[in-house]
Amino acid sequence: MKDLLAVQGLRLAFHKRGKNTEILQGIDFSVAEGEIFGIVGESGSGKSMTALSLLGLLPKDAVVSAEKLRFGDEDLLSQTEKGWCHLRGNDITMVFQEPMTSLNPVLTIEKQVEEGLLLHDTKQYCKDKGARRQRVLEVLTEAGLPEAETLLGQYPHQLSGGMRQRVMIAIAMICKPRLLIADEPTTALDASTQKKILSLLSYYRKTYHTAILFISHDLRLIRKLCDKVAVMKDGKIVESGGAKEVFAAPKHSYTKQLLATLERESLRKPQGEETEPDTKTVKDILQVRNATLRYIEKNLFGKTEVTEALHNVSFSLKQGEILGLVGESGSGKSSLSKAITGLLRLTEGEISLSEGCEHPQMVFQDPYGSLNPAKKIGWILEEPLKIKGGMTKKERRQRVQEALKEVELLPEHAKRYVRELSGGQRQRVAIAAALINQPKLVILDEPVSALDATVQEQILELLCRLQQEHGMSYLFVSHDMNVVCKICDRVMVLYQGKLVEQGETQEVFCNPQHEYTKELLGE
Amino acid sequence: MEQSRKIKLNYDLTIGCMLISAVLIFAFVGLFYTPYPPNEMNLLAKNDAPSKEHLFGTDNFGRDVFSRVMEGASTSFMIAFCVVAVGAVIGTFIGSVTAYYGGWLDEAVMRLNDMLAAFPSVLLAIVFVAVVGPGKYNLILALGITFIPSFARVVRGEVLVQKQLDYVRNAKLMGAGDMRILLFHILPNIKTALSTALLVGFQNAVLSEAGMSYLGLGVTQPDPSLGRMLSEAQSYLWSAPWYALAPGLTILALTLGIGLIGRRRVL
Amino acid sequence: MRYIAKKIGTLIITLVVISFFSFLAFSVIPGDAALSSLGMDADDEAVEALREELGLNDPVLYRYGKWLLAAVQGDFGESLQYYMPVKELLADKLPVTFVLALYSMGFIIVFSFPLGLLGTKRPEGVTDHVVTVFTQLGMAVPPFFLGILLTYLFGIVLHWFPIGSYVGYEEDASAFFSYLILPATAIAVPKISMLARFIRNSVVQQKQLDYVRTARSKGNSERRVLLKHVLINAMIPVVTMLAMMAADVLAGSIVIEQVFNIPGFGRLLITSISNRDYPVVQAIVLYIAAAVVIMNAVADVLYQKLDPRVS
Repeated sequence: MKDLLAVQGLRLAFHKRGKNTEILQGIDFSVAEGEIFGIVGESGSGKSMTALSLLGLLPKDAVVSAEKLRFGDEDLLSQTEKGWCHLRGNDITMVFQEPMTSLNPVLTIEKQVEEGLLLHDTKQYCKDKGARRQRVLEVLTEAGLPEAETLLGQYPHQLSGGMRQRVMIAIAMICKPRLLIADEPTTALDASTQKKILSLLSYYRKTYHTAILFISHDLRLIRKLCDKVAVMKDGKIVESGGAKEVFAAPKHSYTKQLLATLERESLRKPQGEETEPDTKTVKDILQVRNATLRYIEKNLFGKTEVTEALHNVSFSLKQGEILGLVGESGSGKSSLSKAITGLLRLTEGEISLSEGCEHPQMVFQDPYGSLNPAKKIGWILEEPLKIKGGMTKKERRQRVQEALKEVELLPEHAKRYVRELSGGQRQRVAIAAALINQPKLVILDEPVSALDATVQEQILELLCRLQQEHGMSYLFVSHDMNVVCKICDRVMVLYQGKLVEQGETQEVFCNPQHEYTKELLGE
Repeated sequence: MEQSRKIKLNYDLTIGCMLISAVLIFAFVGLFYTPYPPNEMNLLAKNDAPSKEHLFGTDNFGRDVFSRVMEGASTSFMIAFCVVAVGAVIGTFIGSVTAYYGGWLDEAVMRLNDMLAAFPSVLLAIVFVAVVGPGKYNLILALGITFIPSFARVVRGEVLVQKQLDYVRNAKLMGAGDMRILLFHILPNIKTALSTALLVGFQNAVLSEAGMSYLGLGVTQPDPSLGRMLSEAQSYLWSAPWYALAPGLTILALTLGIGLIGRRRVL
Repeated sequence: MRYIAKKIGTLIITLVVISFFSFLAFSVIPGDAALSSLGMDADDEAVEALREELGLNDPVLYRYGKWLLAAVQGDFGESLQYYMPVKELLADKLPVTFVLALYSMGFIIVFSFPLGLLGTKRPEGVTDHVVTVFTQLGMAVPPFFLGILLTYLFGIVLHWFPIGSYVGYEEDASAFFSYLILPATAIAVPKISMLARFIRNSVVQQKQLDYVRTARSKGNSERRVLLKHVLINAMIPVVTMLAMMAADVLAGSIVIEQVFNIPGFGRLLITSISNRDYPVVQAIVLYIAAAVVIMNAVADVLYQKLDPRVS
């Protein structure tokens, strides 16, 4: 096969305030026609910048150099603005991560999809509006939007995230490009939509022989989709080759580490490792009975609209237990955790917390949002102690230092602001703040979803260790089955506000009953 | 490019601070000392051009313009300060409390607020003064009240955003009371927006005070005022242009200084 | 359509509320109109008779209703100062202020857009900074001081402009329009600066959003990205701002009419306030309030029309 894209010694740096920041340090790879090439790496490894440099869309203060940067017969390094305009959207196109913001909010879907035709296919489509519309409908239908007709006059905000991403793909495919760059195209979508988008990409490759450069942090997706793969770390490609070979016999230690994380995830909990606590003697720390939550909204014309966020949910949580709560966004899992902490009131049903556990604490998904950005870490950790009262200033300071040590942070972190810490460190602070008054129950709301794989692992380990030391209970809320199975004793699956399945982690994983659970597990 | 931005930033800031401190010193000294008594007439020195004796010249009654501008500047400053204080304190209170608690009270107050905010503050102040009459304190009251809606609006918007954030939920879970959350958790996070609003408000207050006094609806005799000086000076533009320039440029220095600082939001 | 109907509903309610407060403010609070028109030492019976005649003894709400009914038909009573119906007094002032405001809005629209877009090609570049210096100055200068400066420069130094010799439209239309150039400039300059700044920030902000990158990745040229994608988004807040600015222009004309001796609404308002001619004040306040409220409703409707996300 002929090489469509050849990259050799690609370097990229930013000049800021006289300082030089190297983003890419000499990258080599090539993509053949009709091939799906995957680039995998954690955020900050430079994979998105690689993609943007192939389209000449880098920020103005970026400096690019390469020994070779060729696309077909074109030299990408010496493109003029006009040359780029001709290539972009016609030969090379791109799908971005954020379908919510990547479409123009005030233009109709038709206008946005047909623009490619107007820019590149001048003769055939410019004058003939009917033919243009025909082509737009065709490409939308192909992208898995069957009711394309009604979509034409709609605006992006009227569509769901999955639909928007399909529209983005239709935009990218309308001129039948030779190379499609997909930068984390499924990261913002839920599991089932993710799968459909992947098969859509495979379809395009098969039908149009389009080469695809697929960029992701998620090894599983790359493994499912790609022919060849390159592993990126800190601006370098540490390993590349055929996907099968790389995954079967990784050479570089970083690839091994990534694969090991993945392996552990799919292993599930080994049997008999933990002694099951005797269910009869341990008391329930939390009981939820028939919890129902409705949001009642009056719209403009006085009609009431009722949305049911939770429907007849009952469960209990024992002391020292880690209970997983799995569901997609919108399944009602945040409403449930808010109701337990008292931030929301149930419409029907009751929630009873056992004595001494009236104040469950919470760890949120985004540690940047859950920690006060205007205050120092020391203040943030001291605040719960102040509110509780009964401690002198010296005792409080003492306790803050202990708490920092417990989550493996240093005493000097107390003097920092949240923005000065890394994502993992922030989440450690959030955990320390939740645990500082020694609650019996902690609700972990997607505590590792915003973190990179390796950091994820560390935080989960920390959470397990703290749970064993203090004997607390966790309600672990997540959309990610793999994370849940690593740490939870029992699992519940929430779907459209209803509890569709619950049981021992292993049972649910090995023998899922409900259709939705099966879908989540990717079966 | 980054470098030039930084230099520019410092220019804005330095010039802004210099302008404001010049007027401030000028006004402050004017409280204790003026070269001549501001209201002393000297019919032998009517409409004199700027000279060693009279730095900014004299007006049609032979009064020293320099001394009068000094005194006028301090009045302008004081009034603007009080106006912003009234507007900011009440506005912040209304905006934060209604946003935090929400409900029908929020709805009602904000309807009224939006209605008032649609009117230019000078217009509202003119109506107010038309009812209660001119004078220094009435002016502060009139402008202060008309400044409430803009502050309430800014603070409300910020608090609405902040109260949705997880750190506020976290504080609630810790058992922090509403007032504690508003004062210690949320307020520190909106100080940037608030400081911008304060600067914009101060600039508007200086401009409004001068405008009202120019129209004869603000500061009354015998209190000195830059705006009124300008309206008096207008008739003598032919024979004594300095009489109008001196107070006008003083106002301009003050408003420009605030504008330059406000652009960089340093407070 | 429903949205517009709802807007018109709120508009009417707002106007009723404003008219009630203005009635309270100028007909009830200032004190006894009968007493003030006859003088403090008038004899009691005469005062009482006049009160009866003026309807001052009726309950407040009844008086308000009567007054509102008349006001809707354009009848605001009689001026206490000129002894003629307010309606006639306003008739020849209204067009003057209207033309001045239109003139200023014209200047604002014509100059603020090019000025605002000038610096957006290279934000924080040299052009951007130069424009910023001018807009900063423009926003800081008090309009009436600018008016005085313009009079001094063009009237006294250059002799291009006849100071204080306003000519009515009926007398000499071209002299009328050329006289209004300087006042309109004085009103417009601060607003031009403000709007140019606003346009600049709006465009620069939009240019950083993700959809712009999408537009570029389709093969749009920089120029087409700006025209077809960025501007249409950036103009939504600008157009609403422009509609709201009409209220500011009206307020500005009150002061500027004073500076340039233009016999419009504003000048009449100020003299009527000093002469305690409340029926006139009341009428002008209501007219201006109506204009402000209507322009705000227009701004809202425009916003809804331009932005598909608002329903």
